[in-house]
Amino acid sequence: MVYTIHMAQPPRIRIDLDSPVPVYRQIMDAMRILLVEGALRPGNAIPSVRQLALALGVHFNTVGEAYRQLAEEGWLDLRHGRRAVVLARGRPPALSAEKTQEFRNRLRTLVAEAKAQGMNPPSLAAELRALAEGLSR
Amino acid sequence: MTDAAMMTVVYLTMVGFILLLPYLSRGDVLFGVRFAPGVRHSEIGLRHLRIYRLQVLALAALAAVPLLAWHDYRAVPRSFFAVAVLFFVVFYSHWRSLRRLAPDALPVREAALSEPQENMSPWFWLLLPAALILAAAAVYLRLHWESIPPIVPVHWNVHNQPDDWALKSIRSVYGPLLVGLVMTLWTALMGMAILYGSRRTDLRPRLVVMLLVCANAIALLFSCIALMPLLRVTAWLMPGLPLLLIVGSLAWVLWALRRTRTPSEPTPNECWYGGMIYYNPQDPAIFVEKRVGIGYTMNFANPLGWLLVGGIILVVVVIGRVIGHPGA
Repeated sequence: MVYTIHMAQPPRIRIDLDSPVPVYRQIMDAMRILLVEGALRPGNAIPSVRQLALALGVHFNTVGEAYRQLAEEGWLDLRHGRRAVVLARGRPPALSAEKTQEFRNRLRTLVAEAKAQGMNPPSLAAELRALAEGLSR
Repeated sequence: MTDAAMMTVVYLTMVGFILLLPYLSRGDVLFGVRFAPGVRHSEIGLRHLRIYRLQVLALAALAAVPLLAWHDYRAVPRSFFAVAVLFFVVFYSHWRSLRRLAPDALPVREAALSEPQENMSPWFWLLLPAALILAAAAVYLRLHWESIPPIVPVHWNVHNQPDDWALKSIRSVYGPLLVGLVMTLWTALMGMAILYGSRRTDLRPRLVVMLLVCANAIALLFSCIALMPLLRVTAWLMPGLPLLLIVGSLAWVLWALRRTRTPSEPTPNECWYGGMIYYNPQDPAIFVEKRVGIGYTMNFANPLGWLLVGGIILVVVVIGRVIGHPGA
């Protein structure tokens, strides 16, 4: 389970040590949400690997792995000896048909799971609409 | 001040400190166990504190019997030791009983993703006075080398009277300054280690500054000791001024501790032993805020902490061996 907390300032992430999702993945997913939604903007400095690991009480390598993967996706500048900084990421290349289908399947699975667990369709639709509106802003 | 009066003051100060100890922590901590904020004012908190006060006062009165009944002031160190040991037993019993009631650590952790600013950038300037004090003392000793008597005092009793002497030599004259320098550097190094290896909290800058003020107090104390053969530093000034610096900075931190509403670090209760020893192999922190008292304690599961503290102790021991006892 990945949570991000949307507060005015500063953006925060939350991890769940009991979740079956690996912690580095939770950190990465939570940060990606903040990056996509603009809560973390290009030029923003983020805590160093050491600082975030200390704050979350997890191993340095766990945070290091999350940062490395986000850097590979083009979100972060991790040049040695400098603070980690959010990059102005260029538009990624268009998705292939297979990849688009994969994301569609994942979305459908998620929607089905939410419905199966009792989320009513109007609420679900409202959530999806709000997310889509957020992305198009 | 007579021996009796001095010992009484020290004894009462110690008892007072022990009585205050459960209050020297953030508002969500009771006897080293993390609960919800305001636990000290809850029914259980008030009950434990009341029992603790009675226990400490009873123990202190018992340990003071040799002093009051037979005026045996040689028994003071033994009384101190007895009070300290019994205090730990009492404190431990409260910690153990409260630990059973404490909530388990939540698996959910949270952190801010903005670069948090800590107003600590000019912290190293706080070491400048210590460096200047030690350097000035060294220069003064060099300039007045001829005036230094052939036999210099190297130890003083509680009345500030020398009770041990050594032949004048570089080692005996500059020894106190070297010890002062090492201890000052040690304190400064601890401050840096805390900045590097601990979580950012609202009190951390104050605690590090307090440590640096202590480094200055140490430099001042050892400079006074080094200058004793030349200047008759008045009895109250030598320990008084450094003590004033330490007490002042401590009061400054206590003031902030009283005002803060920020909860304590979310270190799991099950990783604290006796409320005083922290052992958590999952936590990358080298130092964590104390649950009891003011300052930081080591995460005993972190090998870096052992390396740092062990290395520093080794340096102090080596310096001590090098200086040795310059007795005549």
